[in-house]
Amino acid sequence: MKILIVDDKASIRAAMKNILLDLGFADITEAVDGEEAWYKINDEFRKGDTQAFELIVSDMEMPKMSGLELLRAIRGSNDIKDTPFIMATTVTARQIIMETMRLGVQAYIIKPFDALVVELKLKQAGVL
Amino acid sequence: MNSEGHDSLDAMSSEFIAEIKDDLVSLEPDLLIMEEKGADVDDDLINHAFRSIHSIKGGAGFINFKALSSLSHAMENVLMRVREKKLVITSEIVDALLSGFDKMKLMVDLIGTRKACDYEEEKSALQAVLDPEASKKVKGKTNQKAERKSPAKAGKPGLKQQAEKSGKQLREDKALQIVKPLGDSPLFRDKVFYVDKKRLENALNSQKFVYAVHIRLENDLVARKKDVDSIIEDIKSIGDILFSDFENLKNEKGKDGFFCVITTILDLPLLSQVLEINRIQMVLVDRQFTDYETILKGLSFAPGPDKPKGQSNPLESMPFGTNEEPVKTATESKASASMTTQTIRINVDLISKLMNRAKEMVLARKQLRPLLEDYVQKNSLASSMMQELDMVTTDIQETIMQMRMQPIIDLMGKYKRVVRDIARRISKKVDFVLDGADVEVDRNVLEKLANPVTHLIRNCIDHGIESPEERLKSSKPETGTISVKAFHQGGHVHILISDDGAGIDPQLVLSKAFEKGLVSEDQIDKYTDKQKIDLIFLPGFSTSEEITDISGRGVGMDVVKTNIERLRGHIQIDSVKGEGTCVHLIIPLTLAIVPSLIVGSGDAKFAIPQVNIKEVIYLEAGEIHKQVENIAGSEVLRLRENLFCILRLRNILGIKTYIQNPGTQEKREEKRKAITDRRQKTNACDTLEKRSEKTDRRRTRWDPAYVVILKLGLNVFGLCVDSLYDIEEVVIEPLPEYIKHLKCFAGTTILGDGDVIMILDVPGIASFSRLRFDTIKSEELKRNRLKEKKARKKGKKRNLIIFSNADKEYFALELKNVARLEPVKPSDIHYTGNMKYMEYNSQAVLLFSMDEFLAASKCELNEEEVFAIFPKHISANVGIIASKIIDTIETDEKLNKDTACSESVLGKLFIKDMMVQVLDHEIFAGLIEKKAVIKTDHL
Repeated sequence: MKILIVDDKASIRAAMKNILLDLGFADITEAVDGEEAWYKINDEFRKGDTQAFELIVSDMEMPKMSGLELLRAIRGSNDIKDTPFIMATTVTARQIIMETMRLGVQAYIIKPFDALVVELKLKQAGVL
Repeated sequence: MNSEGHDSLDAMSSEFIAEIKDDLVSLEPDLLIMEEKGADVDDDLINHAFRSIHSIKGGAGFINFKALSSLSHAMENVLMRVREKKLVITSEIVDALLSGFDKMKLMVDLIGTRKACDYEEEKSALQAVLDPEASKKVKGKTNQKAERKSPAKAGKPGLKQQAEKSGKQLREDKALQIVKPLGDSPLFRDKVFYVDKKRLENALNSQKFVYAVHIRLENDLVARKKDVDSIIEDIKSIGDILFSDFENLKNEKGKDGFFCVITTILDLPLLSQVLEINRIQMVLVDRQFTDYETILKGLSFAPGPDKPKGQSNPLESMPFGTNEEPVKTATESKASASMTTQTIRINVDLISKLMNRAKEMVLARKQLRPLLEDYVQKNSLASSMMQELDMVTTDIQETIMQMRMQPIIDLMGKYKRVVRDIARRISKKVDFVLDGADVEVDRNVLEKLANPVTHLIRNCIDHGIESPEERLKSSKPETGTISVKAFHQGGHVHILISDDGAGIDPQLVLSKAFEKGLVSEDQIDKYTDKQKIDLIFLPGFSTSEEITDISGRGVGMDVVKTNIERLRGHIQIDSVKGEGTCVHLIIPLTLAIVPSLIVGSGDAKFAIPQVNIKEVIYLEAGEIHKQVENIAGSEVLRLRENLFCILRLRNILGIKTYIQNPGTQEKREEKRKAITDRRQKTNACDTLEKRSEKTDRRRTRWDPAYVVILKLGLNVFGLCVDSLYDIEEVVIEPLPEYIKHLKCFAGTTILGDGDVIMILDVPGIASFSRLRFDTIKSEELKRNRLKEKKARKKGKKRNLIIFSNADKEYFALELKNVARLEPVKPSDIHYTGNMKYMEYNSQAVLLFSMDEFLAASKCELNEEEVFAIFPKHISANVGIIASKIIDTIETDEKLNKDTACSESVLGKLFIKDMMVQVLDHEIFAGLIEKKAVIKTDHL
């Protein structure tokens, strides 16, 4: 399964990557913000159906393009709107959660997370 | 091994499941043999199968696994009939049993998967075996049922059957399920909600959270300018509503809020944020995925009373409207919870393998050490690394040991029940007390202890404790007590199993043993009581008048003894007739690694386990004959008022030792038998007594000797060796098969330098040499008594200070009663009336002379210097004048007391040419006190 981790903090990307690796996912790409993620997602998708990301695990607060904006962009697109999306964030404002829920995320991870939480959330998102 | 603190119920459930699995495994071959042999099957096999089934039933009952319990009950019934010979095994029976077995296996495999399986068919087949007539009806019924249920393929046939049985026609998709909120929040206490089963299951399958939420009208809605519809809208945008009772709100006035059950992917903090409802108003209802609890704890988001509790059984499925018990879900959700335990079951072989590897590592370390010693000393870095290595290997070893350790309660815990049951069966009253439940023992040891301990405890109940009437007759409490006490001591575990029953009658044991031909007639008189009791350890001995089903058919104490000794343990039995019996088991903690003393005899080295060693004594060449003597044919060492048998290792093992001639360096074989024998030719007629005479000029010819004093239970004996080496931690390897019969060895080991040496078995050596501890003991006792007698003849030991009052008039005070002596010049004594004073530390001290208290001459003060003696325990500042201090002596002479003595004198002593009157300090001090008061009053 091809997974994209989006976070502006290298440490969090590394932590998530390690957990995902432990859970048996090998094909993991990282992006430092929503913008880079958006480009990568589109680039990969253009390479062909099989190359598209199958799961996006994204932070909420990021420079340039936030997780919510990324989610909005994905859900608003034509081709990749159904990509499973897990939002990783701290407890945040009601309106933002409501909107992400309305846009549709498969799971919500509250930071800080650990392997057990991630495993559970991946199950919730239906990818594990 | 439950080092992690987790739900004890879960731990136990999984333990039971594991046991059930074990029982199933052992049951299968029995059933298969039954099938093969048919009616010819032997009773033991049936019994074994019966027991397996029975314990499955028990285990299933414990974890409330009703399906399994009921099926195993049916199987048990069939086997019981077979056992009672009311049923002959036919292939039909075996078929029924085997299909039941298969279903049980399936059930156990399905534990934790939330699936149930139908067992009606197997059960009725078993029923049919028992009662062919009635079965026809049952069969018909089941067929009918099977037909009826066949169109419904979904999840829980058993459940539906129940629903149908009860006659309620429920539409299947309308089946409801009860959910209970977790935790003990008062808000949700005793609340249950009925939710659509399918939707709930869907939510659970997609791993969503299921919350029960309480929404208050005032605080949560009105205060935030919301209404019921908008909150429902909010909830729907983040999840699903399975249940809500807000409709009731409109009907019932005065109700502050309503409940709903919702499913969502949001964690509780987020949900609380989104709905703007306090966290304590929402709680999880189900935790079908077992990691929830851990996660919840990790996020610590359920504060205080909301904390989910593991024990509650959160889900109960129930067809709505029926009162019948749910067939499976209760038990199975419990069982699935049991899968969460944080222990894993490891194959014992694996641990043993790891253990062996660790042993090898310890060995490698030992072998490496001497090689690296030089290098390590020069290189400080290496030395710290060596230390590190030492530490780690030791740690690994200990940890592996610990992995194998189990608290003794794992074994002893079950006896409370056993005792109760047996006692009830034979109508005796017995209490069982366990002390030291947490004492840990190697798993291997514990396993091997089970049989002997069971036997001993059964013996206690059956033979030990008397019937209530008998007990009352001998004025004992009606209820007997069996107490088991376990504790650690010196690398061993001691287990004392005692009862306050009838005890063992040594005479009865002896006559029984004689009847059975276990002892010969001429031996009879020689036994001490203890030896007589020890006869019950002889193979083929059983004193019980009749064979009972509790203590078996006389598989006597010899089996117990062998079992214990196989563990390198000891068993001792002490009993007082009429008062009770105490069996003392001493068991090693572990069977693998033993710190040992390496000793040498001749060219050979041996290891003696340190736990057996009491002390090591070096006998100097000239000392041997003084300390060693011969009693009743065996050599005995006299040490600090005690007598020990001593054995020579070379004699026991037949080792040739050599004596080197200091001059010629020529080696000659040593021929002496006893260590008291001197080197070189000795006259055979020479008696030992004569040899040990002090006048023997050749006594320097004795070699020095090392005597290792060994403990064997309560007994002690010495083993004389030629040389001592080091103390090493040796890893015991079992003896190879072809020398296994040798009594004196416990095993072999490899030393650090690669030498393979034998480990001596202390009890083995003692029994091999037929040590007569009792003879020595009685001799020791005799001597000590003699000594005591001598001592009693003499008086108390006293330290006396002797002083003179007048010429040839001597008194003595015990030194312990004297505070101080002070020299005074007679000129310095001041007189006031008939009172004398001296100045001491610029204080006036009242002085008395002896003649003021008792019949004595007037104190002579004509010496240049006299002494003031200040006795202790006197309140006033008072001294006694002595014209001269003669001496201080220690004496144990008896005092002569005659009527002429005044009461303040203890008695008279004759020392040299003096007659000394020893003062009784207590009375004397009283006299002084009185006098001092009178005199000061006078003033």
